[in-house]
Amino acid sequence: MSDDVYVVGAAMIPMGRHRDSSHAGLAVPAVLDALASARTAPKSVEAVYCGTAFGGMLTGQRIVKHVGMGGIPVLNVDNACSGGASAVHEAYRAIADGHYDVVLVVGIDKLTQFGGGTLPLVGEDWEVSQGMVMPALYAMRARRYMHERDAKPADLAEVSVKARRHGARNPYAQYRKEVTVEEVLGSRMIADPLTLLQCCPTGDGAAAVVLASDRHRRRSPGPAMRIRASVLHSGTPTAGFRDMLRPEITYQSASDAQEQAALPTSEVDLVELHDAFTIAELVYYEALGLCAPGESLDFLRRGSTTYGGDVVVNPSGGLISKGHPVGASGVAQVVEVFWQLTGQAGDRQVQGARLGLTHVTGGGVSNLDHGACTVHIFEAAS
Amino acid sequence: MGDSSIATASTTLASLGAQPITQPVPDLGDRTVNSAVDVEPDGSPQLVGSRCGSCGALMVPETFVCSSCASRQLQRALAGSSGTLYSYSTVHVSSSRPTPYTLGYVDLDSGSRVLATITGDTDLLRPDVRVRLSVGSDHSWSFIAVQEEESS
Repeated sequence: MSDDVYVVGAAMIPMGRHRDSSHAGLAVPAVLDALASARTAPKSVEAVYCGTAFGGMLTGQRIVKHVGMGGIPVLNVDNACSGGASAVHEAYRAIADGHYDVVLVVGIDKLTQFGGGTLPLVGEDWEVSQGMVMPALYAMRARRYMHERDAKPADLAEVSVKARRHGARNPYAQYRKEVTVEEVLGSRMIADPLTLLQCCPTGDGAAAVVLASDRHRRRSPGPAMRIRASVLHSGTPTAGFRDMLRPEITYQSASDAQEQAALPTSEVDLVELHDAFTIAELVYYEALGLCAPGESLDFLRRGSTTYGGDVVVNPSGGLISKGHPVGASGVAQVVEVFWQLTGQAGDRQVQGARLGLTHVTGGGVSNLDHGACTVHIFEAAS
Repeated sequence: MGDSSIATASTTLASLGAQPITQPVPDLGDRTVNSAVDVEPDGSPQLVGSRCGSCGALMVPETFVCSSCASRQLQRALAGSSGTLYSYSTVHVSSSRPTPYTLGYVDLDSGSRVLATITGDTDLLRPDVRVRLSVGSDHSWSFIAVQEEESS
């Protein structure tokens, strides 16, 4: 039986284009505010896990030295877009296994260093060497979805409209202006059928959470949520057919998370899922078990995934509106759920929220659905 | 040269001696895009891959270890030149190649799936159309939609 693990503090900076900030400049304010909200001094932290895809060598050490932290284990975790959540997972395991009582998790990336455009993928990959970029992967998923489900480009655009409507109420979101279906479809084409406003933006961000054992939480009581499930999967290689509408890595991660939490994912009040592109949200409604396979389009159209519906999906605005600084996103999702489950989400508060789920996938690698997938389920601590 | 398959690599302690030096290989088909095609003696272009002698899996492009069972008993195998387009997209923004270009997943009749450049009239494209391999004089390859009269 492993120990209970709690999130006891959380903070992030507003996502956006912060060209003048160094990586430490982005992350240190989030680290300090997360520690403050956890009523925890830097010197009490026993280990640091830092998720980043493009931060460079020793990103975590370059950040935490500024607040006098050192001597303790600092581990840098790369799992592309899932890096931040993978860092949360490792911190969870370390506490659950009894190694530590207090662990800091940081997620960070600064995408403005690349000057815009698609994420630079690793050239030593058969598909990347032929021109694969992330928008193309999701565009092919979108094309297949439209073909099999008789969906229209306007249906995809509705995902962006909802994301922007949610994000408009989030002061941490990169894009806070609402958009119409016409504006989404009229924006320039990135990878047919996905237009610019159906893609997550390029930006910079940092988020931090403090994880603690029950023993530490009782010593320093305050707002907290318990981690009911923490699951990390890698993609399963296949040389042949893959159903792009049934991404196995998310199905398996969600299934394991349900089992670990001993509750169906359909019971959660809110979800922060990996909407890197509009199509992803529809496919992941089904993969995460929020609706039955084949019903995602109706689920969205009925308003089931916004305020007043069955489950509020991406109350933060999601990656499309809030932004997606790769390694930061998995931690920023946990920050959002922490604020929601502890009643600190302001204008975008999901009333009465007690259960939240986060989901990030990572990467474009040949013969894999995705490289990494992380799913967490949280419950407000009473 | 010893049997190099992982399945038969178990060794008793008594027989442990100096082990053969583990050497790198140049590539596992992760960069060799243009070497994935060959023109057969009859003039027809074919995608080239590897067939696993242990589990029978077919992989494109050629590699030296089976991604299904990790056996190294692989043989060069022709993977055919026709298939069905699963999905596709014309890319207008890219960090890896001049734009625009069209990519698609092709499910080969031989059972393998390849990502490929799609050329020809994009108006003919939709999921599930038949496509065939086309090889340029510079050895570059792509798939193009098969016209109705061609397939009849």
